[in-house]
Amino acid sequence: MTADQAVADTQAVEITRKDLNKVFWRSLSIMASLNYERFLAVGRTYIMLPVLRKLYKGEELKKTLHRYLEFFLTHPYFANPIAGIQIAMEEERAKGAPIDEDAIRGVATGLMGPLAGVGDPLFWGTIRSIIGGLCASLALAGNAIAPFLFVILWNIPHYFVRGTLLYKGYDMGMGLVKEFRETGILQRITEGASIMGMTAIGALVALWVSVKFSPLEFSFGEAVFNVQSLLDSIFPNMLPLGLTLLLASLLAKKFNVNLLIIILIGIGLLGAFLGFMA
Amino acid sequence: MFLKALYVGIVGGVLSMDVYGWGTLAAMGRPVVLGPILGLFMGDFWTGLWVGATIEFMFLGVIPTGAAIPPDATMSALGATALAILLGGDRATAIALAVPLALLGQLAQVIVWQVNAFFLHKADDFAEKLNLKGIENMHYTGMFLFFLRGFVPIFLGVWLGVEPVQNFMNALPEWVSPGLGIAAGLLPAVGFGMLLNMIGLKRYWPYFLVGFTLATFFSVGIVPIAILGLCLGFVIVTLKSMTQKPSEAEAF
Repeated sequence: MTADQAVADTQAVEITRKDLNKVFWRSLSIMASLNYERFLAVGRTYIMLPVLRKLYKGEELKKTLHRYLEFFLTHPYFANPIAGIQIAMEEERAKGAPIDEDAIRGVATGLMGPLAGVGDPLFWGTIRSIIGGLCASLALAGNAIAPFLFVILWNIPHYFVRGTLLYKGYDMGMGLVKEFRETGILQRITEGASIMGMTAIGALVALWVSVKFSPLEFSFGEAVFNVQSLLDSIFPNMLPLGLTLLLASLLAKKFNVNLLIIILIGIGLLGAFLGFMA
Repeated sequence: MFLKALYVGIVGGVLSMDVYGWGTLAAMGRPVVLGPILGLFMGDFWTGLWVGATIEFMFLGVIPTGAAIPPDATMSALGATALAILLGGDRATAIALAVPLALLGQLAQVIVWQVNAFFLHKADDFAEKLNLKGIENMHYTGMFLFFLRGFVPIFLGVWLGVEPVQNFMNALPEWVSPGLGIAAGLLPAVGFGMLLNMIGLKRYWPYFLVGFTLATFFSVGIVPIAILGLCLGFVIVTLKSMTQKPSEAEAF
């Protein structure tokens, strides 16, 4: 597509407080379309729709929708500050600022891992254990206030992250965008975010992808081999790494995603049925 | 019993959707909140309060991280509360069923996440046709599936009674649930594979290996690795701009 077409498909309009409010209300249900392949992809596209349909149309809207339907996984509450920054960037981009698609994408891929790393232990670990422990003890003592107390105490930090940080992210995004323009550091930010994202993904593969053989043992004469511990002694997490790289290369060759997923589920069921995986 | 099961099932389904559905209060899915509320609807607030609090303690340490699905405290609390009240306040039986119910809930969760992947691809198609309503509907469909995840087991559990629930759990081939668990470990690799292609593995592979190595061999957590990644990105970019365009580096 030429630059002229891109301009024709964008609309230089202000994103108002009202639009941000729409995004906020939608963001509450971000988890509703959670799936194993791209996790919050549909959810965040749903959240961004009020803004995207205002800024883009035609081919440009199509491209943007596909851009948001990409892999996205973070703590559900912390998806909002990311959305705030991205809204600001989309708005400036639609107004003709030289903001690369990769820069907007980089905000999500660069921030989602670290924000999940903050959000999961903070909310599910610290805050929930404290409030849950407190309210459950009150409830066991026969105090009817306990469930209501839990709802109130939980929703103070909840709405701070989802509400306040959405609007803050938007304001900050505007500031960031201005800075990009004045100093021309956009490309550098994009590259920096790619490096950060890549480093984080490397860690996420090690932490979240799990491929394990059962403690299978083969014996050759006196020697006994345990497949998994043998593999681990060469290179722990070698199978998750190998699987991820294999899938990346298959996907790069336009291998059918659905088929890959069905094959993986089949391997899982077969692995449990025959007992060679755990 | 059918109408009662329908009523309890709908209340339970709606309550269970809080985290994975409407998300407004985002605390309703916790046993200590959900037990007494379901109890209120079923006419026995105090049994609900006790069951909910007891299960809250049981699952206090069960924390979901990233893509992993832990045993489901929400479904456990819903099922156990409903059963305790239907059994006329039999708290002991309800608590005995807490863990099997949590595992059943976990299984239901895995199924919904997998079925939703189908609607994800539908959403891709709708994006291609610029059908925005269609994308929204795919999101609402997921919401409805999460309603069913709460509704179906509770409805069946209450309608059929306690015994068939246990029999069904026992009758399920014992490899199905672990098999889906294994698949759950494999499937995130698809998403990461896509992300690697998107950012560009050819250009950025060393950073990928740095993150992987730190997590694997040094057991470094995701937050320090991300901070390191941020610093790496900053240093590389600064160095590059210093060697290539000194004038721009000054402005920076």
